[in-house]
Amino acid sequence: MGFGPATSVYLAKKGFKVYGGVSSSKEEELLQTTAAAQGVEVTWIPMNLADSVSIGLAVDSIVANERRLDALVNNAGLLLRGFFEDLDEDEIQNLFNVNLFATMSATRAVLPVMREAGKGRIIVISSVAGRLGTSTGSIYSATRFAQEGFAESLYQEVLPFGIEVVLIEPGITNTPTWTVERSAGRRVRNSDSPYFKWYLESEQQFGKSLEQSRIKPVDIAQVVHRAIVARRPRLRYVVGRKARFALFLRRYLPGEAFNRIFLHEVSRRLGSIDSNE
Amino acid sequence: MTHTRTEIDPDVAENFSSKSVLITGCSTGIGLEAAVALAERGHRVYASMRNLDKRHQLEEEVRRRNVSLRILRIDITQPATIRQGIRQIIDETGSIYGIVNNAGLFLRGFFEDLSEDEIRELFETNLFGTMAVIREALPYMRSAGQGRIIIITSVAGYIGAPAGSAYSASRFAQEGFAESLHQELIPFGIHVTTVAPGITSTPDWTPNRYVARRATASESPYFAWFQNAQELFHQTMANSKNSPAEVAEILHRVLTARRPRLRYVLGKRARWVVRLRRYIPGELFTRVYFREVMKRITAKK
Repeated sequence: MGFGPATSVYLAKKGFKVYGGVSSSKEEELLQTTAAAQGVEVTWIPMNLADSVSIGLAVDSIVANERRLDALVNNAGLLLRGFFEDLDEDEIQNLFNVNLFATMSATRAVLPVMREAGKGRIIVISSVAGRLGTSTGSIYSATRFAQEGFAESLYQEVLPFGIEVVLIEPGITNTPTWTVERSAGRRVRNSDSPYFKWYLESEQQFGKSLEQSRIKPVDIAQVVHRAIVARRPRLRYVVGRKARFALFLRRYLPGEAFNRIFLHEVSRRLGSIDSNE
Repeated sequence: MTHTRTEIDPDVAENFSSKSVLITGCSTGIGLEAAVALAERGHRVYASMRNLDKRHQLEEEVRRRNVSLRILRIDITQPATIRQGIRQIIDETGSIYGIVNNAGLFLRGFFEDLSEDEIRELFETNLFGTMAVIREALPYMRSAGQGRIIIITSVAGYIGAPAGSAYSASRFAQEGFAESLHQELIPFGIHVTTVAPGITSTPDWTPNRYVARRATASESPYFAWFQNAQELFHQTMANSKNSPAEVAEILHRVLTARRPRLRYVLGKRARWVVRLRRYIPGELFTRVYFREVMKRITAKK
């Protein structure tokens, strides 16, 4: 189960009236069966993430029904893996549309009603990749970093209205949508690519990290809940022990030591593949 | 994509001692100074700009300081002009050693006052344009087994600020992109570096040039705060001791160092803020600094 259904169901169990945005009938079905299995009700609402008008209409219909909107959880997000030169422009645009511009559109749509209410929570599910770049993650990290910069600025802009902006940064989590297959750029397995061997190696490493990951979608759901009910939520929540440890090292190792030791090491390991053969 | 032209012609390479460097956005400001200063230092500079009608200031400075460089037309949002520009550099010098991605837009306004079009336009230049230039140059750098890719970002790529949400998003995105790319290219001998100047006052800066259309409308709920934010911003700029020459100096260092850093932050104030944010534990920085900024901006006059 992905973060979306898990969070929707968790919040519904806690007594929230939850509207789950879905972009296909398959997603709608998944959301409904998940909710039914847990004995809660989640209202689904259609949304085309590439279209700000569709996002605005969805928000308008919620406000028309409920006359209020207490929290927005920007969860929709895609992964894209591949060395930069192997990624195509349309893949890059698509990732920015879903991860960044849809977040902005949904946020733009909810702000007036929250300002009027003098309160509200805008939650952005980013990623540890929003704090740390890695090879094969250049575009993904660019979208997540962008969300971080956006949210951090917005946090300041809307604080005087009683609206709190929160970033949640999960580490690598094993969810069905994040399978190795679905997230790869279409040219990455082209053996003509100068990065081909490195990509295969990085794919194995990524697969291993997914298997080893102990983070479950419900962990994210719990943090979202905390961010919604806390009197003064944090600006950032990092989820996952490994993610927290990496960010700790990057922060407190002096100068560029982290970069030299860890990031270069990863590249060197990939770079030595050719010579080992 | 064909890679046929990436081989370096040994004759061309031998006849030419210094290495070619492309700098984008050279009609004014940091780009202009960087182009001239790096030419002074002996780099073979290709200075590009979107609109060649604006080349006179650069030409004048080139004459005044008696250097030589080439001026190119590149609009980084138009791939054909990038391809043509880089092709010219390869034809004339046999290789491209460095690119300084300096061309960038600025956008100020509270988020609700920014239009989608304004945000897209910002990303087209700051992020997607930068990516397009790098994509075009990379095959030549890889085949040469060396190269320096520099992205001029901003302290706004480290810290968000009110009236700067989309701008910070674009600068943060550049930082995340660069950090990843850095790791991907190290095995090819190519170094990626970001240089973040603090707020820098450049001669033809005009206060309203980068303001979102709706930000100055008095019916905006943020109107009064935006006025305050602008005032603070212009004060900071007026007091800024950061100069384009300082940026050019660092660029030279990045181009010539054996192992350049991944990140450089310039300007005393900017360096301090970045350092505080990094080392102050937990969210103390957020609580104190961000809240203080907003207290000042929302203060009634």
